Amino acid sequence: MRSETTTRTTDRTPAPTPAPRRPTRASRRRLRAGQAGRQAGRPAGRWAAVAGTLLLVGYAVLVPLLVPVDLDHVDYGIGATAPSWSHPFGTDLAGRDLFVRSAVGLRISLLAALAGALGAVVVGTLTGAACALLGGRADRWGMRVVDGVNAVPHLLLGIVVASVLRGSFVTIVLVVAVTHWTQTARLVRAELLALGAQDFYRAAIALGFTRRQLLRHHAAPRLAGQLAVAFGLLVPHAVWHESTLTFLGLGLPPHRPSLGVLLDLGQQALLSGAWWTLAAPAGLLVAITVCLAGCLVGAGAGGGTGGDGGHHGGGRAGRTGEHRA
Amino acid sequence: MSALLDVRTGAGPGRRAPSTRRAAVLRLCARRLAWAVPLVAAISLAVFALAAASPTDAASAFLGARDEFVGASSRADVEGLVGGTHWLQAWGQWVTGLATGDLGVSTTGRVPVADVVTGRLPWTLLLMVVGLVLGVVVSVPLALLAALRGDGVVARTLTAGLWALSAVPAFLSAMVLMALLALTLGWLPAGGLTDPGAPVTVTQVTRHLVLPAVAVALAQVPWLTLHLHRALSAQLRTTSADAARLRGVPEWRVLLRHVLPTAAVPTLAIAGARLPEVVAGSVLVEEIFSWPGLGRALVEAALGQDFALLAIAAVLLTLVAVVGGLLADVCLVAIDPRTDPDAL
Repeated sequence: MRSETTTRTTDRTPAPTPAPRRPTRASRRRLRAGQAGRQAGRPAGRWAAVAGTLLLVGYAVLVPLLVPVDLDHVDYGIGATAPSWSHPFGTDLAGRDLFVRSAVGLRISLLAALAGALGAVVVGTLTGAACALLGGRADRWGMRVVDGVNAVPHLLLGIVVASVLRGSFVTIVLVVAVTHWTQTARLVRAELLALGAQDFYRAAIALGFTRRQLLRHHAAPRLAGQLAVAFGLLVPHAVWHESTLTFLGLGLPPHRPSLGVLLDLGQQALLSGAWWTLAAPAGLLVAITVCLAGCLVGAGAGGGTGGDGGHHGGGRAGRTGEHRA
Repeated sequence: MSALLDVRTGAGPGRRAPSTRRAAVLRLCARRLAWAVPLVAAISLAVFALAAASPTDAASAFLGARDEFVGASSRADVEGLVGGTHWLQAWGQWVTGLATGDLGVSTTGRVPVADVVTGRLPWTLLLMVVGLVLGVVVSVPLALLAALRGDGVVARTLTAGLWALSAVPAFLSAMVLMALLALTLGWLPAGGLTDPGAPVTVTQVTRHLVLPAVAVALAQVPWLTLHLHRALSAQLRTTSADAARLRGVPEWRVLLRHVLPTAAVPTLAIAGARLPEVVAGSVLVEEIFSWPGLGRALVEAALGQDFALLAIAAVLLTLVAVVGGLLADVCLVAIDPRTDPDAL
């Protein structure tokens, strides 16, 4: 049998192939590179991102404490002064120092984002776990609701909710939680279902472990890391949501100078040439988004960062959640 | 010929006869559109329920700033006009109105909601389509360039730049565009559909469309390019690409003819899933450039608590996302014979 096949292959006349050309230079380089993939993440960049995050959080927390300035003190005499030594970020049209105001803004935005992301992760974990544990009809309906919420643009849902409950910190938190729990729910459900199919888990059930022990020793450790990544990826996106809704006039009121409020004021001042009023909050918004996303590069964020709708491509991020606007 | 020897049978659902495949695509369309019905019902119900829960009095919302100057009798008239019905009842009226084309009256603009919709939906669609096409036209060459350069300086700079750009919110890049090109350089108008008072002509609209469309495109370019680049790089490392190179096929031809079609498939799938985000981005761009589209109507309705307009704007924008996602999936089925329309 075997010899027959070999003779047949050797007997076969070679197919008339076109005369092979020499591979081009670029092709040769590729061939030499072979199948070797790119290196997965650069630790140096990640440490820079962690350092940047710490710096920004330190700025947001410490500056308002160390520089005792009345935030709402208006002094038109120094209105719209460009950045200088006494006012590193310049002042806005009403003469308020932007270095301090931006720090306060970053703090408010970060707090809203952290609370919103936490709410989303908690709601998502509870629903996902309920779907996976109950199974059957509850699971099907639950997943249908998840699909429904996902089909609606998140910003649109946020606008609808904020149209009624306008202008408070709670609204922002609620909007972020209501629109972003779905990814976590999917993640938790998938993880728990995958866990349930594992041999060691079936063995643990057969050995008579209680539900509590199963949850504590098998489910919780498996979920913890994933949930941390999901939460981390949500935070920059939630910052974006806060500033966007506030910018549209549906978020925080003007007397709570979040990044969104500062950006809105900056847009108005831009017309009069005071670019720094926009540059300070905008730079901070981009910086915090990049740094937070950069911290998680190895953990999942691949292609992009949280910015416009917080898009995260690739690898595990596909499972931990594509956060959309 | 027996089934065993028919090479096509083993290839799974993708290799069906064209007529069955067409039927499957039609089934896909029907399934998605049928699914949109409960979705629309849920959104509109939510809007009406929220409207009922609103702490703002319906009559005050209708009157706006005039609330202070209105006498008791006319206020009673207004209350009779806007209030009084239970929200479920109001929703029922809205649904029956939907069938007849009567969508109620917008309280912010004092015009029938149907007029607002027909006047604004085309401009929204124009902005989205032009913005998306522009985004694709820019992204594909960029991704090809980056893929062709492998791990070189050009590719790394491009990737890093796009990564940073993806962290810039759409409204921010829109404002920067406006500040630079419209306000500082004065090349293009800063907003609106036409110059004030000018008639709606093709040249006027084109001039005013440039900046908003670029802003919409700018929001899509980073992720489109990065995804396509990733897919292209992965495909370039496959053995089939190496085989083509060994046959002496030039690198650009490997890229364009052997790799791009395969790499386009996952990118298209992601593009379909991200359409809701394009819709959200265009809402922001419309707001900033005063583009008279549905997104701006949505924001105005939300600010003015104009729930009749809010409901229909939210529903239509969601439908744009759903139908767009469906179109992307149909394209996917058309390009890639491996996709099974019944599984989408």
